Amino acid sequence: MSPEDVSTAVSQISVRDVEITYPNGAVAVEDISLDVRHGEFLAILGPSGCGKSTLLQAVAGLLTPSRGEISIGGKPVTGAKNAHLPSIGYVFQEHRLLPWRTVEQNVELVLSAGGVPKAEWAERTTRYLSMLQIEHLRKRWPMQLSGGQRQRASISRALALEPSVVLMDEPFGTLDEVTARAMRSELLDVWQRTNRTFVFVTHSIREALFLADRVAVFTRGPARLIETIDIDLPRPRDYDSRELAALEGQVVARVLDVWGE
Amino acid sequence: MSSPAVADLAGPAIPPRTPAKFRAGLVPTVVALALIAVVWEAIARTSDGWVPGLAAIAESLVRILTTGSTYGDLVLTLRRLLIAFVAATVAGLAIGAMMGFSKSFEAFMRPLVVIGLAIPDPMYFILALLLLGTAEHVGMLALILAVIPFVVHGADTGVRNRDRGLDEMSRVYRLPRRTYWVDVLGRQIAPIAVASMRTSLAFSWKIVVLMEALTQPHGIGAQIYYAFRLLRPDDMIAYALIFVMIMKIIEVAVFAPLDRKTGDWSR
Repeated sequence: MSPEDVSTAVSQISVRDVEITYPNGAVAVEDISLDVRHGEFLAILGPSGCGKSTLLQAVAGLLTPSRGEISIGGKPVTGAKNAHLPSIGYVFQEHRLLPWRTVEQNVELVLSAGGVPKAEWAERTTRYLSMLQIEHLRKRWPMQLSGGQRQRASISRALALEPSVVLMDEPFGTLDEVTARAMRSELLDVWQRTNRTFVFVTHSIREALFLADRVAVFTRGPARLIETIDIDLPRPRDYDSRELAALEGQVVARVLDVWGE
Repeated sequence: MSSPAVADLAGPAIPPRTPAKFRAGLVPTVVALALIAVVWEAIARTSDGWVPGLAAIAESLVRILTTGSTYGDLVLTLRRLLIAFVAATVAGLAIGAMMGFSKSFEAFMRPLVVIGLAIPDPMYFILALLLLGTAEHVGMLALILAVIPFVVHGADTGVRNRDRGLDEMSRVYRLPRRTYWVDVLGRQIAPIAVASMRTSLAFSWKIVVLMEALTQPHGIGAQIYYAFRLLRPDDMIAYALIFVMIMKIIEVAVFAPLDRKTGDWSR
């Protein structure tokens, strides 16, 4: 942990009164304030198309809010020059690997851009590909991998940068359920081993409750924050446990009116 | 997921082009060519004498190939072709890429490209002849202008349809500008650029012969037109055959390896 991480240990990501409008003038995100603690696993839960991914893109600096402030590790993301931005790992819904680079080269490309010394590339790549159990596939082209393996590679790429925060935008949304289940358990394992701050966007209530320390529940678009729920279930959690199912039932009952047509 | 299949442990397996595959492609080609020859010969024999038979064409081919001045014409035409091809490819890719990135430039250029594509090719040369005279560079300019719209169209489509997801990925991970242009955008456009170059070459060669026939005293096109005026169809066909063979050699020697190089990751 670097000194600046310690000084902002309470709030790693801070979102203050943020409003985001699309280029066509429609409001995507309306007045959202949210704090993510250091080392926390926060899930952002909302119906499809509500603007939760848009907020995540703003946290990554991909788009600028029309109002409000976002900072990571105390450094403002909004309006900051590239060089001063904190490093971010991002896992997209699609793998977004370069198909003409091998898995290993895809990771190295990001390490190079992140200013990691070349001497460390091999060790970092090996460590994170092994953690995601795809070390043996490092010389493969992404097109030769299964959907799950590609997403493993994408997660390895995000972690290899050893960023202060890892943002995930429905990373298991396109995987089959069995693969997604295995990946969720492993993701929690990786999160605990790397001790990083994870923000995970999903529309699946059970997925959010299974993974997160806290769940921020959003309304239908334009997104507003309904509430944040602390998930006190002990870890490791069981995806099919009665406690999780009961909790899911409660959340469904609470969001039914807000999310419904 | 936790127990990868044995097949997963092997390295990347890119199947080489096997001799069997090569033969599989060769047989239909030979059959098709033989069929064309047979049908041609049949038409020649049943015609009133205006359609030259295979023997007459072969004889003409040998005579043209053993005439010294043929090679001068050939070099002249290939030089014109090369200049037009390179100029049209470079200008076309640049204009097309700019259109792909800028909506307003696209809106400005689109009508020009549509008109350029629709103008019949002889028009370029006849107009250039009338307006600017018979100098060689006038013909070359008209040739390049005739080919550019075809290249522009391909490059524009390629850049506009690029994967915007990879653009976002490049921004999140702050890939340097050079890496973005070469590794992200360049590799996406490479297959389209090669396809554009192919189109450019194919049109250049068809149009260079037309340009020579209409405006120039020397070159293969001029020779074909000369043979036409002498009522020598066997010579015309022989010249065309020589050019077709040269184009095929360029295809096999230049474009096939380029294709393999730009697309090896997708196999």
